[in-house]
Amino acid sequence: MKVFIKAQNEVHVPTVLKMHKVSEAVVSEQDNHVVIADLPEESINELRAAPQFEVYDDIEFQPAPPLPSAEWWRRQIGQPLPLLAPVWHSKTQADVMDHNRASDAWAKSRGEGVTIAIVDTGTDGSMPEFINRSPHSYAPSFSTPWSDTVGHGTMCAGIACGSIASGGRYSGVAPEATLLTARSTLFATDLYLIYQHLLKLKHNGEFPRGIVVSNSYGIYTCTPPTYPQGHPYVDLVKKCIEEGMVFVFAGGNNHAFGFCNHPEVDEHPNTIWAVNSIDEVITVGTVDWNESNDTTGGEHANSSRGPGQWSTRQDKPDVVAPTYGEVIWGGGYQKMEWWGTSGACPQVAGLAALLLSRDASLTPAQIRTTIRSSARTLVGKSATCVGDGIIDCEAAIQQVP
Amino acid sequence: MPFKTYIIRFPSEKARNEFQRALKDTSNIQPSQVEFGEFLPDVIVRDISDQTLKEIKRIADPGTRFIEDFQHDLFRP
Repeated sequence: MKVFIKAQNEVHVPTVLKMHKVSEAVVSEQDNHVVIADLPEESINELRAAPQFEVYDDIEFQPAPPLPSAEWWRRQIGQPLPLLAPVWHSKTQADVMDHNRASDAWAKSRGEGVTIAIVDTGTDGSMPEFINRSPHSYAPSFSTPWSDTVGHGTMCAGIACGSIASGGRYSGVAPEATLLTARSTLFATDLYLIYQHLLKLKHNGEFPRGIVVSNSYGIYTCTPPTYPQGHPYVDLVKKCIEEGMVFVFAGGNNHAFGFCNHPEVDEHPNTIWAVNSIDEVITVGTVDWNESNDTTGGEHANSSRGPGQWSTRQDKPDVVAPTYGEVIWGGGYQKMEWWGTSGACPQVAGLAALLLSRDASLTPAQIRTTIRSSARTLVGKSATCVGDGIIDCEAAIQQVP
Repeated sequence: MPFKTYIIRFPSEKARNEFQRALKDTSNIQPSQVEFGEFLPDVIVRDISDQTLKEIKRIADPGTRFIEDFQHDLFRP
């Protein structure tokens, strides 16, 4: 058994080190009266009985839980938890699927036949949520797309098209869509090769029921980025959309204390940049469980504000989606106050897949219009904060007979 | 010497084809460093020195744009 032994004087330390059956002993470098030793029970009892030694048992600590539990508070202060745990702590991805009304829409569409490409950090292939996997998954700079050392890409994939059908914990918005995981370094050249790969597949007739591309990346900046609108990578995104591929982008997490330090309640200035703000894509912000993104100190206040740097219609974000609670992350699950606009974007990608599964002839522009027009208005919220409102999957699907 | 990756946009397919032919005489670039866009008149050139960049700028059409690669960020929570 390992114990701490504190000797009255360092001359007593060798007594410990020479004890019978001592299997391991380390003298503290900071205090040479202290020894950590692995000793049999009888030796420990011998030391406890000797006045020149104090013996302290080893302690096994537990990993700290994300938030103190009610029981922890009761033990500390002798009474029940004085403050309620935050609401998000008891919520999960399943609650979010009710909130965005995906669960109501599943009777009419579950995304079957449609491919969702998640352009991100890869997907952890060990997770049971991913039942329909595209053989065209792609990783130009990695050995496999079905690995995710960050966790972020797996989150996005699970939100878009996870499924509980084979033992997964949560369904995503389009649980029967096919997941094409595209693992990227997020360099423009790497993204270029991924979009080119997808367009080539489309030309080869690989996506007869349509393809939606979910992009939860962008640029953390508070001033306009320097790369030009005519960047080849942006042109390729536009070409893909012209050819019928639906592109959804996260608006960004730039607004408040998370990056640009604008006051949470402010509707301006613009922090949706570059390709994330072009008219042809669907740009997504996020709100909390209470449908706010301007609460002081609330993470959702970081959701980037429009109207969008390159949007000629000046109407970004298009919509918002709720993000909070436990969600798939890498090879497991995490409780989070918010999922960033990263977690909002794949909800809209999933919704686009629900619509395409009903009618594969819908164009990207029609899908964008349907998602915007079916969104539920958030009264009193500015369009630069929430666009046309919070997505309503059931209302959207009703617009596609 | 730092090596950089560029994405190169040519003013036309013809200009890119001419560049492709001239590139064969450039000993500083291996074929594995070059990828040709399939849908747009672009070329990705990986890990080249400033000296090599100057050399390929000389053989490219004057209307060609050379854009240094950059990395995006995840909008992670």
